[in-house]
Amino acid sequence: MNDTATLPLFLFSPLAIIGAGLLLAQMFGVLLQRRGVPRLYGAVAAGLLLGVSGFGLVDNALLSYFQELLNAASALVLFEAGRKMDLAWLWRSRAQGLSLLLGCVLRGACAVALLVPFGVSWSEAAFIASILIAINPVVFTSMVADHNASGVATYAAANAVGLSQLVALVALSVSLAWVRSHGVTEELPFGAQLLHQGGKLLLGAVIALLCYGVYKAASMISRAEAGLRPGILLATLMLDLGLCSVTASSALLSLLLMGLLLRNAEKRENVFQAQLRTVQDIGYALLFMMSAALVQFEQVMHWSVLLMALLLFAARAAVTRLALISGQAWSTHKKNAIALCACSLVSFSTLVVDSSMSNAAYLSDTATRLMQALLALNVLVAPAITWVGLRMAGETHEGSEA
Amino acid sequence: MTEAMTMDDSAAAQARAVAGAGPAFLPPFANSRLGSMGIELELMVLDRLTYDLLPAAPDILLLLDKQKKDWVATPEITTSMLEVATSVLGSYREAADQVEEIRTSVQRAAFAVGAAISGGGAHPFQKWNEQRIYPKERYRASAKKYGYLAKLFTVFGMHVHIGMPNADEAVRVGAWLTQRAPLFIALSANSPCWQGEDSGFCSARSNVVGAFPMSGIMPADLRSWQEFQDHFDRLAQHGIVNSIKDFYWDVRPKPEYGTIELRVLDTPLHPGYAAALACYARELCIEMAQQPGAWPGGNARELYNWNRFNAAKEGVQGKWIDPCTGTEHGIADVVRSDLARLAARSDDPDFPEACQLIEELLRDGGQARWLTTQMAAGAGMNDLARVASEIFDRPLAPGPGAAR
Repeated sequence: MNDTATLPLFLFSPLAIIGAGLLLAQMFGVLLQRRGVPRLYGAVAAGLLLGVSGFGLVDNALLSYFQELLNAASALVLFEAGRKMDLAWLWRSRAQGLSLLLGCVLRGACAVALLVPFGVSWSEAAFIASILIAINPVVFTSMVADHNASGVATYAAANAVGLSQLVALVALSVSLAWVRSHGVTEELPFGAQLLHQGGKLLLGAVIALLCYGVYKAASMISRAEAGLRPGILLATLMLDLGLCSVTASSALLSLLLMGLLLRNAEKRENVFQAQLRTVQDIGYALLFMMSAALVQFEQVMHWSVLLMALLLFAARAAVTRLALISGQAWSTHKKNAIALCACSLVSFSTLVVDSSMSNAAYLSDTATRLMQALLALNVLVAPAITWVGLRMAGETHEGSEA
Repeated sequence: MTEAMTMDDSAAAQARAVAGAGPAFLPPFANSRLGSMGIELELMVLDRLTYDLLPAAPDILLLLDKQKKDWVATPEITTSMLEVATSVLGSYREAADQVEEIRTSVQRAAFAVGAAISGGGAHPFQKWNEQRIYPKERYRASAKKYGYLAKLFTVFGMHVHIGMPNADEAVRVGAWLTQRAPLFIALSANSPCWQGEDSGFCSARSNVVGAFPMSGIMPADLRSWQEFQDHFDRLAQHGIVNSIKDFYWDVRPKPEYGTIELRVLDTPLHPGYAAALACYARELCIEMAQQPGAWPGGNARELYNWNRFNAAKEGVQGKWIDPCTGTEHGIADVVRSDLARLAARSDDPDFPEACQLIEELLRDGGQARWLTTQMAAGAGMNDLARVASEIFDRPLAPGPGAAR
């Protein structure tokens, strides 16, 4: 009899392991909530227990079974981020919209400014900085949904999340082209790389327009009333994801744009979207997987890397707050809250959904270690800071009754 | 120590009584000019995506506080409600100009923080239990006193203050205005949906107020300010009321302002209608005030309640039984007859313009039907809130159907 025969059967099923993890996430979440800790930390705790820092049942290898599912989940989160972007407000509010855009620029700039003296090359620094522009939509939207948060700061932060994804995706296509042409693995020249990366974005955008057109046509032909449209929408989102997958184009940008179009292009009859609840449960699953696969304590324990990661983490929040000074419609209190809500960051793989680029193999060891430490920090502390931000804004449901 | 209470002392005592932090207090009636008026509007603060209520009133108020203005903006019991009140006005033109300034200012401030504003008496699909009490001691005390009713009271009304030359006249004219209050319920009715359902009423909001213990109308046997004061003192001894604000009557005297206050209206979908309706109430009060010593007959509470119910249920298509004659008329006919009579005797040169706007409110079943027509065409609850918000957003152009 060999060793595997003694193991429980379910351990051979990736689906069963993920299912068990999500069950634990929910259980831990409820238990933690009773002690005043955000329920979302149940997903973090379950991930730590079952992931590479715990029993090692959930790791990158196991998650690769679900790569397409994960890609779809990440893209759906971006769809939600796009749906929360109010272009009319971002444009016409001037100072507020500009301050959120400035926040994106400053987050990227401060990352470069800190990384280069740390010994990271310019190209790698630009690459990491592009990623650090983005605010994590999973952390933010899940926390908002969990705490039934709504209000001015929540609204502004939701716009910041969407805007940061858009800016980060564009910045990343340039920096990725640069790092691929000048980094550890020199491939095609920069121009060709830029065309390649830009082409993925462009194709993603074209697919979004196409699928949005399909959705509009289907709604018009069937004369579907508002309440019947979510089904048509879901079908076109799947169509979008499928087309992005086969063309290796940017599904994230595509879904982000689908959300953006749905929110902003439809002047009338778009408010059925209030009934859509796409993210809350997806958020739990993604955070569990992030916690399981991304948090590796040995990376965090390297003191110089940890210090640098902490510095970067704090600097991102600080410059976001700095940018908000120009926003005239928010009180100081709300500006602080928005900056805290925007503290989370994304990983490379959740920013660039493309099976050919599922890991950042273009970085040096130093830069890779730093990214890993940042992502671990992100999973461990960003949900809590986001929660504090929402409470500081007085926009969580239970906060108002305190 | 002087015997006479200063205005500041009176205001302080009133504030303590309202907050429940001091003994019951009824301020002396501050006489004011007959026909002066003020308008209070409770507005909805909405999410720009879902058109659900958004708790952003405190943020909007911060922006409005920075603006130099004659009118005031204040919080209400929940954080998605915004109250605005005009300064003392003397004519339709003044009212129309100021409510338009209020509309544009509030809309601008709301947009800056990412919110939308809407008129309407009740939000079509808000859930009362999701509302948040405004973080202010007075409102927390109300929430404690009234339990779920406090959040249930997330409804949006319009109050009209009409200046009265003395306290006794306030009681007398108030009694007259009470009889005609159902006409204003009908004209302003625009809350057909409640908690996500079609209520079958044109003004679902009107039913919410009835849950409060001191709702209803001023007792008809009160015939002078002294009798009103005695009534207040009796209730205060039992701890039932502590200030005038504890009376949720459809029409009540407001002694500190020297006015009577008509409180039955749903906030109109467009503030322009508010100016017109306020002027209708003003002209009625002036007419009544110029018939000294006359008291209304047929004061049976049941008759009033029936008229009120009919107006809330059917809106401008309802019937109204004249309490004085006992005859039944269509509400639209009574309003048109009132307007023709009042226009002939009004000294406000712009009152005919107000009459035109009120005529608009009588068309196509009134505001409530404007909204339910959308539902019949397949619109959901969110769309209803959106349509109401879009009506608020536009300047009111003259002509039939202009607001729609």
